[in-house]
Amino acid sequence: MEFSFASKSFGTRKILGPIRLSIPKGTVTALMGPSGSGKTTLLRLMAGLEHDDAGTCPTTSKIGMVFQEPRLLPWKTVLENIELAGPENGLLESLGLEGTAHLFPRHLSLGMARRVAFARALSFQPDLLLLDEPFASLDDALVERMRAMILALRDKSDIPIIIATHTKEDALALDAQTHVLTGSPAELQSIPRP
Amino acid sequence: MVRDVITPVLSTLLLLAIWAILALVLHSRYLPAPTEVAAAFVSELSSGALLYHGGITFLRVASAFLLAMTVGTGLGLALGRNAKANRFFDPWLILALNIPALVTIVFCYLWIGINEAAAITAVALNKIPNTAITIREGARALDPGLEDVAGVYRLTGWQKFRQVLWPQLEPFMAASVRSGLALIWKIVLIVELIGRSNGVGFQINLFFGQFDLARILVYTLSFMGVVFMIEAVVVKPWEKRARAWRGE
Repeated sequence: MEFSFASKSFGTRKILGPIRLSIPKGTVTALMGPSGSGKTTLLRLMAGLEHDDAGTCPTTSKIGMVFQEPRLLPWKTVLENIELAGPENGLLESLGLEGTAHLFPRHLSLGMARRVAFARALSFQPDLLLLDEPFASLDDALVERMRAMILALRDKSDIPIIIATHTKEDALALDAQTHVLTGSPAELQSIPRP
Repeated sequence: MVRDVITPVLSTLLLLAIWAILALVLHSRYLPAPTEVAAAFVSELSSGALLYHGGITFLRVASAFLLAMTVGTGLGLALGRNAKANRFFDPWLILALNIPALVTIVFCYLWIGINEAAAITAVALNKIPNTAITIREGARALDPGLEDVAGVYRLTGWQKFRQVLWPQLEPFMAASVRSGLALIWKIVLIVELIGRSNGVGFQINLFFGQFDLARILVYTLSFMGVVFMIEAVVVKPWEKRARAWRGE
């Protein structure tokens, strides 16, 4: 899957320079960079939630996205939140969320809510999965569990996964092809695997 | 649960008792006793006058309410979602909000004529700014993060409105409906008093000329009862359902 964007500005401030990114199927790609480097903006461009400065907005692929915050609809139950995007198809069980189908998001811990958001993205049966800082504010055990879920997904499907993160650990643990956003406006630099 | 029923009943009975005692003590034609009002109620009901005039007023209230809610909601959404439009039209809205109801009614009767269309337009014009302001605040409070979710998962326009936007707007709509009901029926009475030959407002004016306070109270309390019933049967259950997910 290929992405090509012109620059991206907000007002007069240019956040991103021109970006070209190739995402092989069945792999995990890590987008790294410090906070404010434009990782989320790049993911939003890919998801079609933003236009670049040339007006490009790729919307041809089905893209599932897990946002930094779970962004569950608080008036819908867990099951309804998942089914907003597509059929549940046993996702609750496979993500360790048995018994939560009829709970409202206010009853969930952050870790559970993240997994529900993950299930929602998978129920969409996406061609590409975008994960924006999916491990932020989670304890170590839960981070390990979610990493294992991502690796399992990579191994059993050929959905390419892009994860925005600011830690090398995530990229290493997920055996990810790593690109770093550097400079101002930010541009992508590939980091060779160790 | 029992207390929820008994307390308001006891409170109403106490109010009736105070009214009855005051009427007995003062013994004035300007404060009819509850029994006199009840007798007048039976008389007006059996003659069919109460149902006829109450029905006419109800239709006017319903028409003006629907018109005001539709236009006010559309306007509020447009202003809440468009900062430039809001900056431009905000002074208009504040001006409209502060025009006395009586002035709007007089102008509508003069411009449109003393007819049903003018009456309903005048009432609706009085309510539209309130609705627009309430819904504008609701539209401003919409969570853009949830709209992103609708965008990513490609919800259709209707799905986005029904599943993402409406639940956020619903409490504001309920507030607007409640204040709308309370405001509109009072303005309808003024409209009827000034320029219609039927309706509760017309009857109140008629009985005012006859110093018949018992019948004025019959019409007033009857319509208050109707509005109270709408509140209890429609608005409150709707609000309760809309807030269920908050655990309230």
